[in-house]
Amino acid sequence: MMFNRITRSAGLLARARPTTTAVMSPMTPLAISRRGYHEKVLDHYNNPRNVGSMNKNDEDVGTGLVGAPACGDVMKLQIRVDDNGVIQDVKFKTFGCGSAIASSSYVTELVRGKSLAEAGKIKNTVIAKELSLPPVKLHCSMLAEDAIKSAISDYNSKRKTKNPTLGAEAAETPAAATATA
Amino acid sequence: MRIQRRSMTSFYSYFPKTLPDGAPPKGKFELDPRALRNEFLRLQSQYHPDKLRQLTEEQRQGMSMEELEQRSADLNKAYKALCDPLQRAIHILQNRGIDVDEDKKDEEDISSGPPKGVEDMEALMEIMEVHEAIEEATEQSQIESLKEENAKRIEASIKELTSAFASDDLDKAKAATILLRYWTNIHSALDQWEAGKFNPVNH
Repeated sequence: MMFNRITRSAGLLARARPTTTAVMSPMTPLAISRRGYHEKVLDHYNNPRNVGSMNKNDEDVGTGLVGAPACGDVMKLQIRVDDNGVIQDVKFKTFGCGSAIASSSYVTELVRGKSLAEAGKIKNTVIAKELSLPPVKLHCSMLAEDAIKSAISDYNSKRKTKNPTLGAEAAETPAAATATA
Repeated sequence: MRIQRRSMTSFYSYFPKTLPDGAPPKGKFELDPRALRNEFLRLQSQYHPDKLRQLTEEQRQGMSMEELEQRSADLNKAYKALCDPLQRAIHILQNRGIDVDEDKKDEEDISSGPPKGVEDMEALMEIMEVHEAIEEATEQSQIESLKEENAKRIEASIKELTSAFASDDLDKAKAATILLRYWTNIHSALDQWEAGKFNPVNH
């Protein structure tokens, strides 16, 4: 049973890209196409970028953990930020549908190398447009936007605790603005 | 037994015998699945094609074959939804004007940024951890113990729903419904798990 065709092809994919097995599907591309995903979604789905985890206790790491009540998807997005407030590294882990995986994968590409202020301005519409998400999947792009914003907000609150004079800088991001509102 | 003339907005009204009190708060959230199934089978037998053809015009109440088939489909839908505690809870809330599936934020929320929706960080962390444990599992025995743990979570969520609906606390019911959806997703991920294979959550 274990060696039916689907399992075997999935196994081959897994060996080729061991780090991505968590979020990959054993479905053949043909099967996925039948679900109506756009090719850009498929690309991120089959080759998710920056899958993984960082130590959430590291001082330079901000973690965003968000869930979608509508479908039960969960997404974790982590950023490592240097002293100049630039995002040096990004990792994500998403358990959910193809669009949610693609949205978070795309966001990791978008924010790498950006300043926190720039990254905080990313809108879900940009993600949805890039991936050609249909209306029923728009919430996946919102989830990815939420994830990066909450990662930034988590990082800022860590900095604030460590060095209160950085409060003003932290308040620049929209996430921190609401926290103080 | 009479054929329903029109489709009904509450799934409860399809089953007057088993669920005479209707949806909570008047009726209970818990129900007797066997009684429900029996009533469903009895009702559904009316729609058997052979029986439909024998109906008099009066019994048909002016309904066409298509309409009758639609009634049969409605009945199936109502039964299916009521059988599943998650779908049942979503349906009750929907009929009270609460959309659990809504995931939106209005304009104001979008401009103000940070996450909406489930703010229960502890629960989210637990959900993430369980998914990661499934991802890292290598043997069926690990999956079995994860299944046991998750069955307890589902049971606890249903209990929470029962008490929330009994006291008509709709906010609490909504929160419990959302949580139950996460546990249900985990349940299917565990069911689909096979050694050496991935367990994507697909829906």
